[in-house]
Amino acid sequence: MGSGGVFSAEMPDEPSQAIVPLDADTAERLLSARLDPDDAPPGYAEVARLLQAAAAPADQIELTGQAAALNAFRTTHPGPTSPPARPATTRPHPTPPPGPPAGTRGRPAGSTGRPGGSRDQRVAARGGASGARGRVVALALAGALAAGAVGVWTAGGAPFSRELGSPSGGPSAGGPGSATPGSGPYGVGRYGLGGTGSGADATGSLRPAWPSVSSAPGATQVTNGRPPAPASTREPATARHTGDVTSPGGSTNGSKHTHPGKQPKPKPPKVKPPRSTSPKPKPAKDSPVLKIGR
Amino acid sequence: MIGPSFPAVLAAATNGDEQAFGVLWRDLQPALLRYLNAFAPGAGEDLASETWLRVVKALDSFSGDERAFRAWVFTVARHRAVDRWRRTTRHHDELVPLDALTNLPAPDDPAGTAVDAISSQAAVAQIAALPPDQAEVVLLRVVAGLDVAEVAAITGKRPGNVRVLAHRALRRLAQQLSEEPRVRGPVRGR
Repeated sequence: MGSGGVFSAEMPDEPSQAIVPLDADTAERLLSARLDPDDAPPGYAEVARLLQAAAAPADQIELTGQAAALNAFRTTHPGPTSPPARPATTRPHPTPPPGPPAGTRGRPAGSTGRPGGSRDQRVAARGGASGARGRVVALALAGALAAGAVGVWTAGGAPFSRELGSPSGGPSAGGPGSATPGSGPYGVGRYGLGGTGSGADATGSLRPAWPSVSSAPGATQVTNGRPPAPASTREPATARHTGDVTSPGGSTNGSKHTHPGKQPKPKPPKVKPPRSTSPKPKPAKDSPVLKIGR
Repeated sequence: MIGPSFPAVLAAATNGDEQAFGVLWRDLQPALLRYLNAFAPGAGEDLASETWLRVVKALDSFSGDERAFRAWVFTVARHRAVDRWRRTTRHHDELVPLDALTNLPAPDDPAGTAVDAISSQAAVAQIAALPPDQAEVVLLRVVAGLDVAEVAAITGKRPGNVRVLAHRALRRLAQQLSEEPRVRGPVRGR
């Protein structure tokens, strides 16, 4: 007699013949692990038990890799695609960055977008970061900062910030006109966006570095022998900086940061005025100092 | 399943929120491990890690609800498993076919020696002992919690074929278990 025969239920001693054909609903309940073994048709009680065991909730053993997974997420995630969803209380901001109202942060579910947000957002983020950097250089030009501080920051700001681990420093790096100021800590590594990454890095490095810059051995080493005039100190440092973060148009000039990507790297236009306005080499040839030197 | 908060969790994870990603991971990782261990015994964790790396990299390109997300993650996992299978065959490594799992020893006295995890592992091993196409359909239905259409999309089969395979698998399991009950022990509902 076939296993699905009429008399199968009357032959419990032969279990293989006690299996009845399943209807679609029972099969569906079995496969969704919602069929209680006691309610299962003859021969399927063990199947129901087995499928429930297979669909059992997670065990701790299966969740042991969570820390490694989060680490991988931290290093792999391409970065936020919209203004950062981190709480604003992680870092105090002197001026709160412009952004969407509360509750509207983050990309709505179901929408797609490129990593780093829209092009406008990325450009704005770059602009904001350059703005922060430009402000610092401008402060140095005005004499508000020691030249050593500028040298240390522009030469090694980004690496310092990485070591110091201030990934959430983006928002405070926003410059004027920045819609998404400092949009995250992953910009440098993932995209090579000098503005985005270095913007976050800039604030991260400046805050801890400034108080200790005067006492740091590297600071005096950098600034020794350099004239206070910023033109000669700023140019090589900023060139190195933009080269380090591989910014396509990462300008360190505060006046040009609103057009990232359009400005050629090796020609910061602000460098020229100090040189051109000081035509001293010709008179210097006649100066007694030079004559003595010769 | 995460439930109504899934869109918010997904959006936060897409924006780099580690806690949100942890929610997604905790929800799917056990099922991923069970599914992958059935097809690549001993390599489930590696494949799951590869799967999550792919998922994280492409997280912003995903759009859909929670069921679609589960289906997508398991699709990525299946591709990882197939890629690994191809690599191992190319490098002439020892490949463990699903049929070899039929001889896996089951715990004789689960009540005394087994814990819930072992019971789950034994259950998955029992399912994996089915013919490969049947095993995959049952695992995707039961372990991953996907419906017929989603399983059909993942496996490249027609929905009717998926239903037939599932019915045959259930019947085969019933026959095997009625002859030799292997999986006992505590059973916890979802």
